[in-house]
Amino acid sequence: MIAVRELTKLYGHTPALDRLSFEVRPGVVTGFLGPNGAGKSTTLRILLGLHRPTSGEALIGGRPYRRIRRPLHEVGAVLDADAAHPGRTARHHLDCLARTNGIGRARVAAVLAEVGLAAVADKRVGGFSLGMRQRLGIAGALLGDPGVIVLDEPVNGLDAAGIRWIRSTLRSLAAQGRTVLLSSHLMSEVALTADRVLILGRGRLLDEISVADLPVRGATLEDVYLRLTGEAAEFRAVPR
Amino acid sequence: MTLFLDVAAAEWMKLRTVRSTYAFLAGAVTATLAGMLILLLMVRAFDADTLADRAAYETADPTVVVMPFVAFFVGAIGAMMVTSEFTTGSVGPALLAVPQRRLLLGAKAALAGAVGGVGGLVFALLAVSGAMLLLGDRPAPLNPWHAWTDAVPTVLTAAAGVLVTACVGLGLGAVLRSTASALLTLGGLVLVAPVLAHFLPVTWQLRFGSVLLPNLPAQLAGADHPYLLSPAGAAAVMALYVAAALGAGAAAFRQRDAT
Repeated sequence: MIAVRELTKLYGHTPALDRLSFEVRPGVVTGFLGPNGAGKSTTLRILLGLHRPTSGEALIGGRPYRRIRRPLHEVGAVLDADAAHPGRTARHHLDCLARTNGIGRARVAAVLAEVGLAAVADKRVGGFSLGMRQRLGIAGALLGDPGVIVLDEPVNGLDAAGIRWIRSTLRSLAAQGRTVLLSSHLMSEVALTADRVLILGRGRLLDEISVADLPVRGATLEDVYLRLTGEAAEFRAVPR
Repeated sequence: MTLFLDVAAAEWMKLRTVRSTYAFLAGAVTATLAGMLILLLMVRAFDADTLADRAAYETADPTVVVMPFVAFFVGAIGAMMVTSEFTTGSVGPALLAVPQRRLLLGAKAALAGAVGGVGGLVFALLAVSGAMLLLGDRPAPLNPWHAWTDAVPTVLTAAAGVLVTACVGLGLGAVLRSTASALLTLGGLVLVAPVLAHFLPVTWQLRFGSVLLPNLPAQLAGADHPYLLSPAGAAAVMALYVAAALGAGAAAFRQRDAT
């Protein structure tokens, strides 16, 4: 369970998050949708202890991420595809992460096979395509078999087969009762993968939607999203 | 304690699995070999000179020439333990795996100290052993040691100097986050500042030179040197360098947003 309460973040005098509150429940895939500059990545970075909030709190399982001992067993996350040393092999990258959390090398080999990187496990990451680096990031997130999965734009750079693989993996993880939070700016992808969608604009929660209810409302996710974010978008094209 | 050991083991694995570590070690080996070459030329010149000219020779302690370069290259490994993670983005996964930043930096500092101490010891031993072979039974003032036991303080304090420099490198890396900035600053402290000190008036040259990193090991050993610190004073200044660098590094690493 993820709980974000009254989260505010200022960069200098510029607000990135403005008293943002939401919860992410286990057993479903929750999409985190918003235009550029809405505060999605900032929220995830605070949630994962990489940034400090100006005020408010972001908790996973009732605790701030920084207080979790050996967190890879509880939370798996991918925030950036370019997050491995390019001179290190994929196996060594995962070995280094696994060692800090008491995870064995057999598990490293298993997740490399699971994400389809077993054949290139001993190649340097610098030679990987963007899609392969995304898969490596996901392998890192799965290392500790965690109950909470947080992914920021995971389908960037993936081919059609990779996108389908991510979609089915996330849905299967949620079906096992895990908490899955998927941040994306791709509405079609979120509509296909998520059960619930949190729509963010200018650092605030604009709405919380159940994807299953959209046909009842007679609207697509795109309709709802554009209506909600139209006023909140940081940068908007001027119509001709 | 188990968690600290696991994090330190992971840091050791990180260090072993990137090529830059070996490139910096190769730099230290090259500096040691260059020092031996200089010593060989000095020994040949000594042999060719008259007895009167030989008396004017300076002591051929190779650590004076070699160890500042060794300290720079090993210190660079300490700096890269932090800066390479910021420049490649791998600090993200590192902090997701170990979000307790004090613990992560502590493990890095322990490893930087160990690599600095062991690396310094190995290179100081190589330099001193090579010098003993080249000097043979040639007399003072060229030969700084009557017996091998006389060289022990030189070797140990030289290793301590590299240990301190590696910790300073790590602290600089944590504060500056950029490899280029950290290595430039480290090079300035270890290699450039002693040269600049020579341009100062003598009184200031001695005051300033006494607290510079490359001049501390000789003062710690209580060897024959022109500087002002006692061995205890040199030890205190070395401890201050470590405390200041790691303290500033820890404050920056803990307080600032990571990416």
